[in-house]
Amino acid sequence: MLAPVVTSALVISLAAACSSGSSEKKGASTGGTLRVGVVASTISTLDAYANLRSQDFYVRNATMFEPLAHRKKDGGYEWALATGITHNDDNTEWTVKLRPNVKFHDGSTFGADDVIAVFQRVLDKKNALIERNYIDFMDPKGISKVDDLTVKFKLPKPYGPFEFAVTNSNIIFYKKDSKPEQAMGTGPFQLVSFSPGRETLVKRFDGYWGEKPKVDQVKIISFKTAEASTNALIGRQIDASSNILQTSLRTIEKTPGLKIMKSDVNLKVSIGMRADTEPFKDVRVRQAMRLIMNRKLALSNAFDGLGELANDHSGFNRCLPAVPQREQNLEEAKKLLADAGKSNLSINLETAANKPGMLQLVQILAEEAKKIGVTIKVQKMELGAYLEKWGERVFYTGYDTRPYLEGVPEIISNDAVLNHTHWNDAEFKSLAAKLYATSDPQEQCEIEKQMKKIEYERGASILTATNPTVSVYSSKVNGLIPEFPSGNLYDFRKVTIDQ
Amino acid sequence: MAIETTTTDGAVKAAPTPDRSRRTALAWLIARRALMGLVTLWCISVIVFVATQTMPGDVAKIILGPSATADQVAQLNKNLGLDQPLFSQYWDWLRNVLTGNMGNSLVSGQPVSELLSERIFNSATLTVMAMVLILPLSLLVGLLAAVFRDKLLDRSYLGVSLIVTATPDFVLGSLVVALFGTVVFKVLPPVSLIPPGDAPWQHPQELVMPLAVMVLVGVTYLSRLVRVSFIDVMESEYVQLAMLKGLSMRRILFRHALPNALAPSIPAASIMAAYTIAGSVVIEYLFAYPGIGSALVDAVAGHDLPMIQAIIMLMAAAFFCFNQLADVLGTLNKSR
Repeated sequence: MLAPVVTSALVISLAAACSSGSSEKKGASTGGTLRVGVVASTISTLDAYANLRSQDFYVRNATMFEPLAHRKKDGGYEWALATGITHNDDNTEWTVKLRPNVKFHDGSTFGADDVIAVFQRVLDKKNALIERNYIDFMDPKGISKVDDLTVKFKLPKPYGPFEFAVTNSNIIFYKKDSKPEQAMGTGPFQLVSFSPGRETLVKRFDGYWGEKPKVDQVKIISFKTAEASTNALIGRQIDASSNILQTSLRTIEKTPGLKIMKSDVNLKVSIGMRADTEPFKDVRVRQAMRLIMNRKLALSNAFDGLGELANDHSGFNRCLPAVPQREQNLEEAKKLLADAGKSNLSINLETAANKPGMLQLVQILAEEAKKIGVTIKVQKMELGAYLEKWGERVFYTGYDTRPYLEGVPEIISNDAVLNHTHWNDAEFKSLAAKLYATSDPQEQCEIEKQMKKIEYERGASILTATNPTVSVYSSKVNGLIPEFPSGNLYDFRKVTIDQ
Repeated sequence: MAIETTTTDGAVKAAPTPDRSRRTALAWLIARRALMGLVTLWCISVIVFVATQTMPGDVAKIILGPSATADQVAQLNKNLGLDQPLFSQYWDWLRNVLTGNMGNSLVSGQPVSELLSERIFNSATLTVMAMVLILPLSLLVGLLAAVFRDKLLDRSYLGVSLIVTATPDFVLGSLVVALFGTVVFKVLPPVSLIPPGDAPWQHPQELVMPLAVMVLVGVTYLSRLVRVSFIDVMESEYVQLAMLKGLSMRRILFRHALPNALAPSIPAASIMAAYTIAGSVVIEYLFAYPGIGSALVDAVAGHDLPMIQAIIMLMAAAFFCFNQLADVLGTLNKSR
């Protein structure tokens, strides 16, 4: 009984303590070293396209490398290494204009050859890179150099959201033929030293084409756990981190000199139901499970009140369908199960509990299900074992941080690993085909709304809440901004430190 | 036991030239022990290899995550050489090790020796510093507890040591962090951040908490052995006689009791050192200390076989050496 009261108090106090998404402050001094804490693996590498990726990989890459453009919240782009992208009428030929006078950290000039080399590497199946999934509509042979600052992409078939695909924040550019350990990028910081799993030190790159960073150096310090990162923040051993133990937020709030920053919501912890297998083959059973979930309770108790209610469709706060917020309705759920002949359903739910709140979420579902005679047995598994049968599991947990356009290809894929719910909806697929054929953002948005409505009505995931990334930083640090869409602290160009 | 038999045998066989015979026996003993050590390490390498193969989960799937297609997983397994037969994988690893090459990390592709060299130094430093503190403190605490046997001091000590021994290292460490680092006093750095390239002793503040936990655990175990040894010696006839003769307590304790009480504790100290190496995995993980223990946790999570093999072999070798030392010291003590 005490838990909701405590949680409410925590939510209110956190809301008061949280800044409004950035740590801007006028008149701060320049220089100094910013110490950023990340949870990382001992066995990370400097390669911009390393296979193993923990938080240090993303923070390090964001300081030293750049994409063609940064995506913005409103769906637009802030151009980085490109200055514009044009296309022909049927969306089969796309031309990328590159920014002139961009230098690599060794002083050499960035150009079309470097862009082509990166795309060829990503598209080469032998390299087994995840980024290939975002641009597999391309033909490697169709990429050609027009001049030093222009690259042309001839596609095998029309593809509308080309700009969206090639501006993925993980598709970043390094100098052609440079060695991975050189980390030869064009970003605002350049490499000083790297010790795997311990520390990366970067310094301001004075030849940077854009607004130069104000701090002299950024030290990216790796920790094994969020507990250690949180302790280091409280102990003043680091200045900022997005890898925080959420259960420690109350202690952090009471610690003088520390501030909390929430990003926009960017994470959905999901419960998947395999739609081609009993009992979830029947849409009534899937809908019943969605109605059993007490979303408000889950948001307050599993996610510490951080975030917003979600409505059983993927994507975040853009292009939302006109459907009511789904609420718990045990009577309706019981009726649907009875209609489907599954009144006393008993089923296992497997989870790796690899995101905050995931285990608590499924436990809440199991407890609520008991009230109408449904037995859900929660099985917590080690991550390696859990992933081994990914794509085969019937009732399971997952999470999604991707924008809608990036997530849909997996939902409609024929690959069981990608389309892990095995949900095949003809109308949804037909709309997806239209979505990827048009390059008009307005039209894309309208199609997205229809697709999300279908997910809401007959999809195969329970999406309860969307959560923000919570970062904590020293009050001496100004100018930190949560990166879009990840919400993490990746952009240190505007950071100043009070000396 | 082996030394005793061999020594006896050696003395009989080499009656005409006892020194030469003893040297030969000693050389044979060392060779036999070294061979046994190598066989032990080989057995461990096979066990670790088999254990990692039976661990649930596929390395490529763990590396690439749930968004990887079956093709991508298969390609990465091929790139890593994991599509080869198990025997072939093991033979490749063993052949490299025999030529002094510990191989490359499966996950990062970097040489294992490069990834571990500084971490080995850091872990060795932490263990040596802990032992340097554990040994004299155990002696002092054990001696005081024995002298004040059944008094308040002794009872309090026994109570505390029972609680410490019963508490897992992880819990004990977390309490120490909360008490001195994050919640109550905030006087010590809660995390052991040793910058790359620096020796741990250049950052004494960062060492205080991990060392304190290791020493607390070590002293409460070893000092109880010292206490029991002292009590035995203090009750022996020759100490009772010394007391009756009116010798000072200091003279009795340090001149007569100490050498005899210490002897059984020395092998225990060697075993303690071996356990300290193994126990450092938890401590390093808890305090984010950059040693081989924290690297092992990562390697196991990532199923990075060459890294796991290298770290386990190192720990096993150290464990074996300390056990042999305990064996030798125990035998020497028995002979004496």
